[in-house]
Amino acid sequence: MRYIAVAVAIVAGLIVLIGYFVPAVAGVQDVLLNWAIILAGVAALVGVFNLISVHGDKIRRREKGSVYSAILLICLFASFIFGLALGPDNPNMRLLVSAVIVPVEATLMALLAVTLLYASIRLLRRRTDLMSIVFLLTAVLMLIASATLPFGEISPLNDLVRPWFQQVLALGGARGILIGVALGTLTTGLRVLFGTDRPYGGN
Amino acid sequence: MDTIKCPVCGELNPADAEFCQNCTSRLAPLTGSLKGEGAPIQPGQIPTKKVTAELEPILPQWLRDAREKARQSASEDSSASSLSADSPTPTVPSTPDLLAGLTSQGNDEEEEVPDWLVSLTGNTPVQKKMNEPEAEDTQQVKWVELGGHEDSEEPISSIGATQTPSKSSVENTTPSWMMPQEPAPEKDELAAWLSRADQSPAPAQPIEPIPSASASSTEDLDWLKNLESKPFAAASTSEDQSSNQPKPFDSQPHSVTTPSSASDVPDWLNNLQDQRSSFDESISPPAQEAQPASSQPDWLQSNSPTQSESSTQSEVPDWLKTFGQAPTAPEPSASFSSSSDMPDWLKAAAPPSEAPNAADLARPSAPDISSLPSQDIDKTPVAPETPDWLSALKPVEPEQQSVPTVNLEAPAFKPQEMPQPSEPTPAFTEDNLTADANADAVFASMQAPDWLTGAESKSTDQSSSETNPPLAGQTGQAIAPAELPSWVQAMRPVESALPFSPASSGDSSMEAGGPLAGLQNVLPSGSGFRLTTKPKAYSIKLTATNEHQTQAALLEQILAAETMPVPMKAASVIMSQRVLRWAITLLMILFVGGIFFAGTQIFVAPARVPNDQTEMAISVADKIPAGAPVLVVFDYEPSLSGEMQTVAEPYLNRLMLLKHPRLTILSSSPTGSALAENFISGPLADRDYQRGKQYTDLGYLPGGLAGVYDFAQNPIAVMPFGADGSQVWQTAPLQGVTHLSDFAAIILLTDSAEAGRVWIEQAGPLRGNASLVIVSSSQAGPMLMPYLASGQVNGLINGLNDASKVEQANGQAGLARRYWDAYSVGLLLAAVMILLGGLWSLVGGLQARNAEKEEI
Repeated sequence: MRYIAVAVAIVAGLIVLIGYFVPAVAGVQDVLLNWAIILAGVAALVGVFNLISVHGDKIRRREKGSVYSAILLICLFASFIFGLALGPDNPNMRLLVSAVIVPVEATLMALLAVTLLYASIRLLRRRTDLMSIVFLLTAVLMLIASATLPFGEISPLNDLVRPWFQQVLALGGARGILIGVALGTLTTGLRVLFGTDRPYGGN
Repeated sequence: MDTIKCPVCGELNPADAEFCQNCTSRLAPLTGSLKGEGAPIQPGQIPTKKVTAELEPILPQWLRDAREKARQSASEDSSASSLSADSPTPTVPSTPDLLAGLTSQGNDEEEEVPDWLVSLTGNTPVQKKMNEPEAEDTQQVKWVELGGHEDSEEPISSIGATQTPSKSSVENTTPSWMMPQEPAPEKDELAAWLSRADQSPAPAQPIEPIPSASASSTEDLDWLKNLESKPFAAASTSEDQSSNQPKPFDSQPHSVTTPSSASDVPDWLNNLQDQRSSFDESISPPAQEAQPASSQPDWLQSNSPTQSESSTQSEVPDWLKTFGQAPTAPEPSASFSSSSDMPDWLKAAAPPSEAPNAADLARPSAPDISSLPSQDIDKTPVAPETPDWLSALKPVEPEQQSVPTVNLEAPAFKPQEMPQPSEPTPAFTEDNLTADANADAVFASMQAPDWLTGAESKSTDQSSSETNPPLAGQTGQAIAPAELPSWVQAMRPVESALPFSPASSGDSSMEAGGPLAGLQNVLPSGSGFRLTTKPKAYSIKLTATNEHQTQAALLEQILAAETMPVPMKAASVIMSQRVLRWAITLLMILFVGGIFFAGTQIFVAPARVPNDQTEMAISVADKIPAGAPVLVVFDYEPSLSGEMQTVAEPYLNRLMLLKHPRLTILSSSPTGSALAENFISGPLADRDYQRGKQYTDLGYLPGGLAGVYDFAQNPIAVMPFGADGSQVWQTAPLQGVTHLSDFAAIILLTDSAEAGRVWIEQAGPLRGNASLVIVSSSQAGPMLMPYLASGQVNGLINGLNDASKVEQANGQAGLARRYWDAYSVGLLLAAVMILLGGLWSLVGGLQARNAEKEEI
């Protein structure tokens, strides 16, 4: 069984890879990719079922925070039921997203801003070294360069420092990261094709 | 119980044991005496009778022949003796037996003893009775030849008389022949006798010349060595025939006591033995009377008073003087033409005609001093000039007789038997006389040589003498030390030099091996192995000084401090952290919220920069044909929806305002569809776009990268239905669109660089001429700049700054401008707090580290 799984994975990967270069194989490639999309959607559904199972266990065991698990399950089933009944385009369903999900997540993001600021202030207390100082100075410069003053822009920072940081330092670092990501993706793909890595299981 | 350790096997044995119970090795040293054997026979003690008849078979042939002949002649002599007893005429002893001289008896005071020998023994020469009855001598010779036991029947009284030594006479250094009252002539008797023998005419029967006794000492030693080296069984007849070397006098004891074979006997003795029968036949009484002077040596003649006076001129016989000197011419054997020519001492040294008994075998060949008168012996001083060879013959003292003197080895290799140069010992002392008087006992105690031991043991075994106690020499072969070379044994210390008794000594320090095996206390127990001082006494009481006590107290304090609870200061730290967090939050809310809710536009909006990514995006929007299908991908999270809506609103507003494109909404996140609806119904509500008419929602595209690639290849197949489940591909917004390249532009709203990379990489090759504009949040912009620089992205609107530029390009203030003051204040406030807080943290950190160091 293990060999079958490995063989299926390798054959599917090779077909999709060949489909990029051979148009005749593009049809088979599309079929495989559609299967992959369907399986990804089913996986989301499986994730929902897993979420229900985990929090259901917590409620049964009356563990600490089981109340929140109960609220989560209630909201989940309510949204699912209302979504099936009303549909996604219903204004009430939009309100559910815009009035609950977006403010909650935006609030978390705002807390992240306070937390990052606090961490930056405490950084030199925890670790006083050159990189910490450089990090803080860079952050301060970018913050100042991204803002403007009431009476005008901070010309050297807005005109020179900020563009230079974005176009040179940030762009160079980002390219390096992207090249690394591309190589990693290529390597991972080859390893999966050769059966060395089997993320689908079948050790 | 005292025990003694066997030197061979190491087993412990009783102290009184003589042989090891385990290996039957002798426990006492070789030089030691066996129990009771070394003790001399005390006066009144009857010597042990020895049965020597069993030794007959092992005797040499010549001895057995001689004994047979002696038996045959015994009957003839008995009749002759009866006749001679009746005859008053003194006759020369007619017996040719060479052992005639050994027929000395304790009660025979009339025995003929050479004066020189008497002088050597320290006894006063006795006037010989010339009219000695011949029958008496003949009878004495008979029992010697027949191995009789008359000697054992010797009266003990006489023996005791002879055993009594006279120390005064022994210590007298004046030789007997120097005594003026000595009338007997002793001057060079033997030499004179030998010289006369040379000049005397040959007897009736010619005899082969015999070398004189004055052979060289070198030859003597060789002869002795030959005796020593030749084994008992290895003797051959050829050697007997070839050995014509003259045998010295001092070798006679060895030859006599060696019953190995006829070959071991010197030739001259063999010759004498062979000639003995001829003497009996040829010699007649008139002839004996006709040549008394020539046939008899001077020492025999010196028995007369006239001759004894002249014989006192010389102290030492010439033959003694010449002993050890250059060899002289061999004397003719004619001197031995008759038995009367032979002196008694030579007769005694000559091999007996019959096999001797066991005592005779072990007996030294010294003349039987017991035949001498005891009173004469007492009076005879010991000559101090006694030669060494005679001293070597001296028996060991009675208390030192553990080492028998019978030895076939060369005397030179026996240092314990060699006389001490500084203390010349007389050859014949009173002790010797005593020992010889108790010959049987002494000889029984003497350690016989190996060849004799073998013979004795063989005979003993044959005679089933298992019950008899073993002789001293019988166990000689079984003892391990006997395996040592003879010269090594000779170098062993004599027990007499070690005044101790192994049996009685409780000391267990007996040597177990080597030349000293079996000896005790030979090596001193070195004092170096002993403790010279008493061992130092150590007290078990702990002695701790003040310093030790101080250190112990300090250690106790340290251990106590380890378990002592330390107050925690973490509470203050937590409070400070909370305060800081609350302070940061309040400051941010106060300044940012206050500015936002104040609605001020004090801060200057960022100025537009020509040909930057914003201008590129604006130009793309400006180039889109009016009413063209545009794909808008919502790929951001609700948490960043506020920023994304603010950034995307001016650009979409410009596009919708100017070009009225047909929008197709696609979401790559689960919440994207709802966010899209909120965005269209919120910030873009002024554009009045209706679903199904101006825009359509395809919903959520699952699959991530694969879904994007598949959608780029075949959008209809991947997303056949809209978000509401309707057929959207036949609706107005998607009219004429079957592929991704059919869209006029693809506007990607994303807050993640990864989502932008996926769309750029997977949909880029399939988008054809469709422009790709990315509207991203500030955090994802830097990561998408490379794609913009490479041309894979046609425009980029990054964050609120670029959105403000787009608004400026639109000429209409929007959310970007409304948020800009609060945004700027928030950035500046954050920068100030990081700077100030960083400095404070730096100082506080240094102080804390210094405080920690000081605490440590």
